[in-house]
Amino acid sequence: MTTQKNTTSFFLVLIVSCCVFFISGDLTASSNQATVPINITVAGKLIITDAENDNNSSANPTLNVNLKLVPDLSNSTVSGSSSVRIRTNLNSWKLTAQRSNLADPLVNIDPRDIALNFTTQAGSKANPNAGKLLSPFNKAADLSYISTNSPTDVLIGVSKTSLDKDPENRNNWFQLTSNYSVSPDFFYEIGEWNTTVSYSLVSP
Amino acid sequence: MTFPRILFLFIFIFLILVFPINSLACLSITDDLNTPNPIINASFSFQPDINPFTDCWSGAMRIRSDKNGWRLVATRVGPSSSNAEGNSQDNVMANDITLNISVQAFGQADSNGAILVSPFSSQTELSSIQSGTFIISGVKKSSNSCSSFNPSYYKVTKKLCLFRDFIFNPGAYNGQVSYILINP
Repeated sequence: MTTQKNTTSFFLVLIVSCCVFFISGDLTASSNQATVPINITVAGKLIITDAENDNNSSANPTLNVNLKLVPDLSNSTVSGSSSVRIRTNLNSWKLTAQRSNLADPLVNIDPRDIALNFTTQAGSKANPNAGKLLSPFNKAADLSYISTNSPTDVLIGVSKTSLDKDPENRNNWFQLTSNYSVSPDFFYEIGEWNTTVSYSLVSP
Repeated sequence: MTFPRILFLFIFIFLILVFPINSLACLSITDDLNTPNPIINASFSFQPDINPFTDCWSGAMRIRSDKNGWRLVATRVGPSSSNAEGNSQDNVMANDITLNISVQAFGQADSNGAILVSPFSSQTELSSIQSGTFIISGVKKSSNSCSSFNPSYYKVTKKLCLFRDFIFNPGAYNGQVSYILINP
């Protein structure tokens, strides 16, 4: 009877020992994996910089164009320009312009007297067809076409500006150059005339 | 009565000596908080921008082994997106993400005990990880114990970087890398 008990105890201890051994082993073996879920969210971005100082610090630039004219017999116009660079990863965007008229009524310059000519170009890694000039700005226009009451569409963006990867963002720009010119007419009164054109890059 | 008990004790000790508890595979991966089988989330949320040019993430795991031969292998899925807008060629892909893996030994672990296998011995891309890709050859044990609290371990740090390029389509991208510690 005692021998049977001892044998039973022996097998019990053996089974418990084996269980401890295998469970411990399994627990250790089961901690052999690490999982790294990767989640990337890319948000849309629209940015305008000064073409002359093309970096983050020149985002949302204020660009002054000064036209100083002295009436003269020669008919050469006085002109000035400003250039901005657009970058976006959105496939649908537009550039609008609105003018605030700060005209001095004593100087009888009319916005129609100031010719406005837009041109576009693209960096070597940008899509030159990313944006299209809209009528009437796709040919010679004048400043009166930019409304003082509401934003006027100037450029319609039909694709992102990048054509290729450019990790340092040096050549993935789409540029808009605005050229303003006025003739030195003796008709104008002496004085100073100002207007501000605000360009906004928006996602429709 | 006493004799069988002593016998059982000897048998138990014999089992432990001949088949130590960790003899199946004393291999362990934890995170820096010593959590077993860790899930280490790598999250990037960025807008393309002119500068700074890159967004980086880094995460670490600790490897413990009481065997001189072990291997770390990895399997990757993605990243891929179901809602990215635009040409799919401009989606964020595994070869857009740079990968730097480094190994450091702590405690009794041998500084030459874990060797990064090419191309992971220098900067590479996430695309280098495919299915069951060999990452680290472990030639030395970290110590005699795989306990999560053992201060001897190999620390594997992974750094992922992504350029804030304007070419990438907006959207959410998901992927996963599974690291498994095995006996060769």
